[in-house]
Amino acid sequence: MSENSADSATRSAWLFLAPALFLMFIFTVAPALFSLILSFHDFKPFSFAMVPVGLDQYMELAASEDYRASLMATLQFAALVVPGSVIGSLAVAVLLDQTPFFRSIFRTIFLIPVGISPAMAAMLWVFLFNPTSGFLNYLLSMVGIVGPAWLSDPDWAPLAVSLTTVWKEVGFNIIFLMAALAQVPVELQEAAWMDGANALRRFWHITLPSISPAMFFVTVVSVIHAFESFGQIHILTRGGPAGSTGVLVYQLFRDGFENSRLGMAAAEAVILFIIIGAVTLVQFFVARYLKGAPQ
Amino acid sequence: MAQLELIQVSKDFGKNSIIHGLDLTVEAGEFLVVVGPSGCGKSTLLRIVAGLEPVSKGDVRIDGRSVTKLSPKARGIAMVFQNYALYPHMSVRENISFGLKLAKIPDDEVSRRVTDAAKLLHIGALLDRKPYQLSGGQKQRVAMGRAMVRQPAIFLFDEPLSNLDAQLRVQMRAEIASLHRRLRSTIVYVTHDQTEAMTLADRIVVMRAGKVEQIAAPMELYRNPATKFVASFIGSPAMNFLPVSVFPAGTGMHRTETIGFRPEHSEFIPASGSSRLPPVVSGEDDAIIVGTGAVKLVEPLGSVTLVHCELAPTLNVICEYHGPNIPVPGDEGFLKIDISQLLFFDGEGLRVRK
Repeated sequence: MSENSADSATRSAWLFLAPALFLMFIFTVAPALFSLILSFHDFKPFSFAMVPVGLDQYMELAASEDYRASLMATLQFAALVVPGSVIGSLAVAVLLDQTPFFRSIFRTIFLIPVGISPAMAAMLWVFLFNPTSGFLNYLLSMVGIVGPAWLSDPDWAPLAVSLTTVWKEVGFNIIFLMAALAQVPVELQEAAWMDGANALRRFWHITLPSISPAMFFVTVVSVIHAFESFGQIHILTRGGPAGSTGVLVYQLFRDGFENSRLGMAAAEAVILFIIIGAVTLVQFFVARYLKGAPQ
Repeated sequence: MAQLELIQVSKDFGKNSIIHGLDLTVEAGEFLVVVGPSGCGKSTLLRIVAGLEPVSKGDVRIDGRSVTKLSPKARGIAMVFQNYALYPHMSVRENISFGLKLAKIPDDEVSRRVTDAAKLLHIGALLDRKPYQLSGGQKQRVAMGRAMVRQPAIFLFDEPLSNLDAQLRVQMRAEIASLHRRLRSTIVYVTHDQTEAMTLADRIVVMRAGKVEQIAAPMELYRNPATKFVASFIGSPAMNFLPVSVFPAGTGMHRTETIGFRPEHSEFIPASGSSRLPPVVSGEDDAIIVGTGAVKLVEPLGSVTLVHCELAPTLNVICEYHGPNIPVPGDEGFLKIDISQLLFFDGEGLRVRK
């Protein structure tokens, strides 16, 4: 190809990309940049006065008890959601992988919650979690247990919110894990079987290492989703009770839209961006390392 | 080293019957090769012996003891897979010792056996590599090492050389043969390559559509095939077949049979000049001359030249040519066949002994 036609190919590529790039700039890049600028300003909505405050808002966050509590709530939430959704989806994926019938039907059923909006899903669980008329406590009462006040007890609310999130995430993970499981060569299992490995050993020594890239991906995505969770928390607990579910995004929402401190909310968004960016970078490099050792 | 018996073994997958009532005995220390075309049930047979596939009917016995209901690991059998089936996340050493570790064999014994096997297979320098860092031939050796260290009663090989290039295949073939001479273990080896079968086997089992066509030593199979199928499957280039009419004396009837002869038992004789008459064959009463044929293809192999002749439309034979002037396509000539080497087959493809 001559230099001229390579040039024109590049030019037409840019031309075709332009509409998408334009929209991306307007709705993603520009607001993100504006958030970064905003985080160094005190910004009052309605008056549109931007007062530069330098790093003040970051300093305030660093010193804030509330913000630290919110960070702890987020870590606790992630600590419940990530193992729950990863191990849960692995268990379901393995079961479905071994099921000869109705595999795609079950996969679809597990995928439905992923498609429902977080608010809708949470409304569903509000009914299920209701301490007096909810189905969950009804089930518990059948075995003689008096169920807790799921959403208003600070000890139980983080668990309830996590349960909802796991239920909603599991289907997404199952798709990736099932695809990975389907790619584990049958001969490897058979070779291990002939080597004297029982089903549990084969799972531990053959299956799990073979699907480790997918497991890692699913774990990282679950961590990112946990840090980004908002909708279900907003509907179920509004960050309560006693701040027990007041995760970072919820704190951000409160500062920005309830306390009208948009600059502060922007600073929180930037910190959240850095945390998620760091997790993504780890994912990127580990995935590259795993790929460097082809199966 | 153990004896293996299959007694009336059948295998059905749903309505498809893969193996029908197969009987087979493999003597202790014997190298038995199972050959046959794709889908003849030879791999299924191996998987049944391994315990990876349950039988539908029949019994599998090792040294007279029924193992039909035993799991693979309880049978004392090791298998080398077609795609090697090395554990990708384990080093060569871990791959080889995996089975021993599971069997809780002491560490010093494990490392002694791994070292011995690695020495025998010339993979001592590769023990710390991962499978993806190995060539095809090296992977093959590791797979064999993994089978060897378990000191199994019986080795199973499932088309182990089919993923290697031609040169390496010849080399590994020789190594497997010398390994067997050294270990004197019982081996069941499945392949579709008749050259591997001929060169490795003590005895060959020819399978077709789930049944045994013939079991015999390689040269016996070559010289005395029991059926037309065996005759066509063993030998390269394949045996020639010509339809003939047979008139048994005094019956006034005739029936159609097939005669078969190998390329090396027939010779191409070029027609000389414009003569359409066959050359006189003097002093060779045991040879017949078959009518004219046109040369379609010539394959000079150095020591011999193979000539593909068309005797009639859709009736082609391959014969040898030993003369100085190699024929070219389009040439005409005659076919001289050694009568003493002719084989006869009836309409069912069964050998007719004359």
